[in-house]
Amino acid sequence: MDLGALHPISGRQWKLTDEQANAIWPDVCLVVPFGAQVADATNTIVNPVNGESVQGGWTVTSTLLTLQLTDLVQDIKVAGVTAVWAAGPGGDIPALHILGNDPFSWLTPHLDVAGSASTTTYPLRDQWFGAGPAQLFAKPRRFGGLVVAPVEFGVLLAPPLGWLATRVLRAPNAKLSFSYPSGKAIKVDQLWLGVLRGIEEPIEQNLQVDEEVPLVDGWSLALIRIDVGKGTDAVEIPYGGSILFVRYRQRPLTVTTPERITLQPGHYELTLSGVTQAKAPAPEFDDPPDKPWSATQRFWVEHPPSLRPYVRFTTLGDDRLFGPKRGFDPTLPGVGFPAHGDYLPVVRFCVPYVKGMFKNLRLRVDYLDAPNVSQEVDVLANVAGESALPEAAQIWKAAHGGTVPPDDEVFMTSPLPSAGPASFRLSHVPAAGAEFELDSWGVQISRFPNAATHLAWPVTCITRFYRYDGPHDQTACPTIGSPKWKEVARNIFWGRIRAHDLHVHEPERLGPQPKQTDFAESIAGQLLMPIDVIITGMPEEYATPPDDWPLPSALASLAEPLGADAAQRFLLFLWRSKVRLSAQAGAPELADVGDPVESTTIEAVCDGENRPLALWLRTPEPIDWRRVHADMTLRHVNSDTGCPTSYANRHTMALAVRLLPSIDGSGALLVARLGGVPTRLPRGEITLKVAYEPAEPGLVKLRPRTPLPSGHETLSMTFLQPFGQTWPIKPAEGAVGVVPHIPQLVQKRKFGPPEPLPYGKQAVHELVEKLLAEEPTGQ
Amino acid sequence: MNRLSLAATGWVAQQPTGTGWVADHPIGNRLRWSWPEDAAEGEHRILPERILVERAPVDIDVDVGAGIVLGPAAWVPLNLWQHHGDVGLSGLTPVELSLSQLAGGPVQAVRFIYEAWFGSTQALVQAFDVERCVVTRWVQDGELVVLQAPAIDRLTVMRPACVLRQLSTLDLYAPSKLSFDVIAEINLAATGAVAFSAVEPRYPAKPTLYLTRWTELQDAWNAAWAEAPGAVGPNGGPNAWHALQIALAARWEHAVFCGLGFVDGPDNSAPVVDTWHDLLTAPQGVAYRIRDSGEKLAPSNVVYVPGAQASDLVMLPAPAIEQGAVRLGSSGKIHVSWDIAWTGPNPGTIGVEIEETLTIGSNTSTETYGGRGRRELDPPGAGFVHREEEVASHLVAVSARVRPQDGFDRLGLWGPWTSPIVLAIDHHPQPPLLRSATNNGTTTILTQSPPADWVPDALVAAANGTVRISRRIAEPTRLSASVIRAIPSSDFLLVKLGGVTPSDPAAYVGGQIRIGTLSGTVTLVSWPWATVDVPHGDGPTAAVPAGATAELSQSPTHPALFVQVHQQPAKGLPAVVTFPDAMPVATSAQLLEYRAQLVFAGQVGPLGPAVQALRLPATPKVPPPFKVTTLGVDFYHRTVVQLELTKPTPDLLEVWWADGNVSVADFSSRAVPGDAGVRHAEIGTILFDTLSLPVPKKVPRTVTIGVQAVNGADGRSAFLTVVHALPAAP
Repeated sequence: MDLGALHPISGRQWKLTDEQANAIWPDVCLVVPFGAQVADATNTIVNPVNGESVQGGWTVTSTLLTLQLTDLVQDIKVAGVTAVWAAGPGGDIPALHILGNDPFSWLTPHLDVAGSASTTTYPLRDQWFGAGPAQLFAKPRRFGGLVVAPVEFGVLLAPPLGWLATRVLRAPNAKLSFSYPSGKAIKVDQLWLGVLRGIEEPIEQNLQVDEEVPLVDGWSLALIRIDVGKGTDAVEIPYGGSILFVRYRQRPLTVTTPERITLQPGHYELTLSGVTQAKAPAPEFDDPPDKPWSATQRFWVEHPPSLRPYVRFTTLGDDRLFGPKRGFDPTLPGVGFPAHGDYLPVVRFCVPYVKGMFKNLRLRVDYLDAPNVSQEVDVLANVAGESALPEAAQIWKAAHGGTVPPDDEVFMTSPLPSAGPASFRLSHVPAAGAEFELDSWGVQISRFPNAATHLAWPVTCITRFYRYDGPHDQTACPTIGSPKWKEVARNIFWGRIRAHDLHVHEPERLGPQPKQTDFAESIAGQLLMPIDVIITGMPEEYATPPDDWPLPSALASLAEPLGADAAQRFLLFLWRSKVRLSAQAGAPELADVGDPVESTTIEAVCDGENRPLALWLRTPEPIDWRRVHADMTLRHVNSDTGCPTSYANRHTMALAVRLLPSIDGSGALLVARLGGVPTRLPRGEITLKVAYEPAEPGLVKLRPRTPLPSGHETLSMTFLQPFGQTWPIKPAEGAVGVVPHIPQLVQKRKFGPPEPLPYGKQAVHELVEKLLAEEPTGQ
Repeated sequence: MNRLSLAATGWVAQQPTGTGWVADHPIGNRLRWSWPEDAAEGEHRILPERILVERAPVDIDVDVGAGIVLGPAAWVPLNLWQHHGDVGLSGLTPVELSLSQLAGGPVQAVRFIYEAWFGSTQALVQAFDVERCVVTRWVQDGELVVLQAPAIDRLTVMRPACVLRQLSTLDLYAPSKLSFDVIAEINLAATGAVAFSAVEPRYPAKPTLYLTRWTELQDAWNAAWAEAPGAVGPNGGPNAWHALQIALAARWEHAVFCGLGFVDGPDNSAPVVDTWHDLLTAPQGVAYRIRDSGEKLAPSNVVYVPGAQASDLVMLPAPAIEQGAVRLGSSGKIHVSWDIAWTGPNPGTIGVEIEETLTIGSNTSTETYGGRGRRELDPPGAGFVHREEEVASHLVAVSARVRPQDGFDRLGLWGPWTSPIVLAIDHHPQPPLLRSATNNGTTTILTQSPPADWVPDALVAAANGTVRISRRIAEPTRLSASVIRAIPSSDFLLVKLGGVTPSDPAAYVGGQIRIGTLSGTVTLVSWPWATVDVPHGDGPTAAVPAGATAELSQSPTHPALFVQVHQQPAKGLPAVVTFPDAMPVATSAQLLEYRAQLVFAGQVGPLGPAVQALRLPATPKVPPPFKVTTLGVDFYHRTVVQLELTKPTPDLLEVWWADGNVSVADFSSRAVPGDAGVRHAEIGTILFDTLSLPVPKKVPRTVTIGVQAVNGADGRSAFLTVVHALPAAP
């Protein structure tokens, strides 16, 4: 019997030999390939089986009698040796993993298989009573693994259902036992009688009917549960009617979940032995002699040369180093996205016992052109309690009373003061001996402490747009003054406050028309009581881009979710937009398209009528756009040309945003979508809201040095978009139900002593003060 | 005490106990009796030495009686029945009635009017003789039910409640009030030794038996008498007593010769080894019973015979020709088999004579033979024979007619013929094995596996079968559906599936279904119900718990997945089969799957193993020339380039680069691909890519950039290269 070894984390395999050059790693499983699972007399297998099979009528039982691992260096027996029958697709496989403690962990590098793997649990079985003539029987009678011993007699009857080919059993108070043909008992832990019931046929109250399925002609099939406690091999039939079948489940053997051990470097010997026995099906046949079997194998153990197989992920560097990651990632392989300093460098391992091999590690960031940063850190269990074990293994452990220990990790709390390229090194400094490096990889430290700073653009007006004839720059327009709430009437009169500014706090609500119930929570609702008249005033807006405002399909088709081809789509978007990026005559249209900018900026990519096809958010460094989520609102402005002077009395546009990252991920085109349709942007005041998600599903979870109150970074940028045209107004079609226009409201409003308020007892001025407090920058 | 049965012998236990007056020779009332299974206590043999035949006069009103003219209870006057009034039964299904307790022992007949309570108006009634079910009968509400058997001690009714109105039972073994007189003493002990002439008087008619056969019968008789009761027969066969039973069951005449039958009539002459007297000379209402002269065995049941001519055996309807099949036998010849099954109302019909016409191809032959077979579930009066032939044609038709035969050597009239039944072909021949396939876009060539000498079997050859070649055009569909309800049966499972109705539920017929650990073949789909065949033998089936999910998959050989592309005669099939099969131009690697099957006599055999032809698109041409423009350098110092081809190409393209000025010949070994991978050029001419080119500082650099075309199967053209200068930084 050739024995092997399997590293359950990396999937690396060895054939066990007594050669030091072929030393295995301390946390491997020794694999013994059996032809079929065997019973365990050593009490080391955590998921033992009965090891029985019926072969040609003979009940064959193989039993593992000894399993011993000896440390040849210290000449002692290794304590705490465990073993487990490995799980595979469709159930257990006859491979015994010595030093393993759950059936699924060996599938860690094969999560696709782990998803379909299962351990063998005895399925529910239905035992029927066969076809044939009706008959009585007084002696015990076997049906498969079931034996019915009637009190006086049992009767097998043709059922009153033409489609049912098998007989029913009636044997009240008979002994129902379960056994192999050899007579060896089978313990069952679940048992039902599938009984045939006629209309109004009683079932005694002490019997529990779990399920009843109507059949035909007034018959039904009822499942009567028989309590068998923790398991039994015989019960008395408590039912006097017709039994169609007996449903039972063979009880699995007791499973334990001990902690697994790892070996120390050294020289070992594995010894195992057992015996196979066969029992004849009937007394007239002889039992064959027992057949013993055994195996002995020596082997060597050494530490792995690198921690790389144990690293699950890192937040510092290119995570693709630790396993294939598909999809969007435009960074240079081996370097990854620049790391923001507000997040801790973390290296997570995929096992909980690295600290057993190395109690502490030295982490060092070696800059190319700045002083290094080094820190001694303990290897600790991750505080989130996460484990890389396949889900099936975790479920199995939990179901069998075990726990899933969190994987180990190391993280660096020392700040990283410098930006730029560097190496990240993991090494160990033993108590005696020289430091030895365990792993290292290249990293890039960002100049920005966090994503919000990285993406922030403090300017309030877009000044550059690109067109077919090259870049165009213009002077920034002044921001539109926000009216003072104290001067409501005047500002309303001059149209500087819209009705919905009073009615709605959240601009998102302006997508659909505000409902009257919204008013109760609005400022206007508290100012004006009761709001029972909806007055026409504010024009209805398009739900989707009208006329020629939708993006051409050649561009719209590029603005799809992020993928590996994002850089190509970015370039094609610019190419198909026919814009020229360089003002230099004779330069290629997309000259300098890959060049990073000095500081974060937002520009516009426009059509021939200066309408932005997309906004181009450009930053000096790549950022992981998979973590970035953006949307924008656009507030319409007055005057169709030049700098905006005031807000139009129109609903704010709520726009979704698709990101189309640039070649290196340092920038992205922001393609707006209205009603799900990619659209050109009109003139207006844009508020771009950006969220950066450290815990984006599917990506490595970044750990902020200081916890983020909302769990993610947020950024809101408001700026004027003065290019192109004003968004068209939808022709009026009876604007019933829209929010009242303020001047008309003002006419209805009685100025004078405050009236009683319906919601709260705040006076108008108090509300205004509250509003002002919320908007301290209000003009 | 064991008792004699005035009943038939042989394997058929439910024999009539006697006939009425038979006018044919030997004239009179014919009787026969049988022996018990075991010897009387203290005896070393089963049969007694002498049997006494007793007769008593009985006034039997032929017009009234109990209305029963067949079976053990035939002609028994009503006043001899035991009446129990109305008996109500209730409880759990089935309700039971112990006749042993009710009537004091087993009875031979039960009579009642069935009254249903709630639920169905019909019920299944089963009558038992100790362990054996002797009668199974569906009964209707209000029906007068008569159940008869040599012994009935228990009734079960498959309902939770019912009433048996006017329940009566008849025990023909009960002590009789009739006044019996011995009319004959049969010397059984002499049978084994006397000459044929000595026993001839027992059968007062022209015998079919003759001296040689009598000697053989005596040998069987003597072997039985010498055998201990309960002995095991050699090689699992019948013991000597059973062998004798078979011989005696063949003809009533044999039983009479041996002293196990008797005729009470005027033909009888002077006995030699027996004694008899006062035999009837004309029909008369009488009752018979037999006794062991040594009284080791209990008296037999009482048989009632009316004073009238025995009615003729009722003509049987045309028999059924069942299980007909034409198969290929293990000898390689065509093998046909069929069953002929008959049924009739008279439980006294123990067999039939069969006249059978067999048409094989164009040849017709007729044969007459006897049929005595009986299946386990055949009721008295029904039976079957199994027939097999080796034939030269696959076209076989059978028709037959039968006439009944009772246990007293009487034959009825011939019944009608069945219509000729053409036996169905049950043959699933494997097609020739194919080793390889090619398709060049217009023609497919299939090559047989070595030794490529396949010939059709006899059945396919006789039917001038053909080989059909099909090509797969679709993949099997799959469906995942929740199980709303599962009705298990032993051999099949009926499941009600949830979810959206698939476009073609019937597509899953013949496919597989998996529900947890249960897997089976879908035999019928009538959405949302599916019937699943679950073969399991004697062992258990996998249970289907509520809320399970069913995974259905269409059979990979479902006909809808294939299209026929060729067919040719099976005889003379060449080692290489060539046929036209035009396919569109391949744009990617494509596997064509071909399978063969045999078509013969309107049958289609199973699809054979698949053989696949690989089709690859043509190697693309070298891309057109192009020029390179550098667009800039990104954060990671990768150079963004734009390539513009001089003319559009629809091919997929990939950009590679190598450091320095590299020849085309060396380019593929020194170049690395760009980041953009394989894609089409924008408007056929523009390619963008990101290349990790060296970024010159003070000294200009030279790189070679190449483009190659790639087809859908990753087939690649040669490179077209351009040497590109990277200027030094200004």
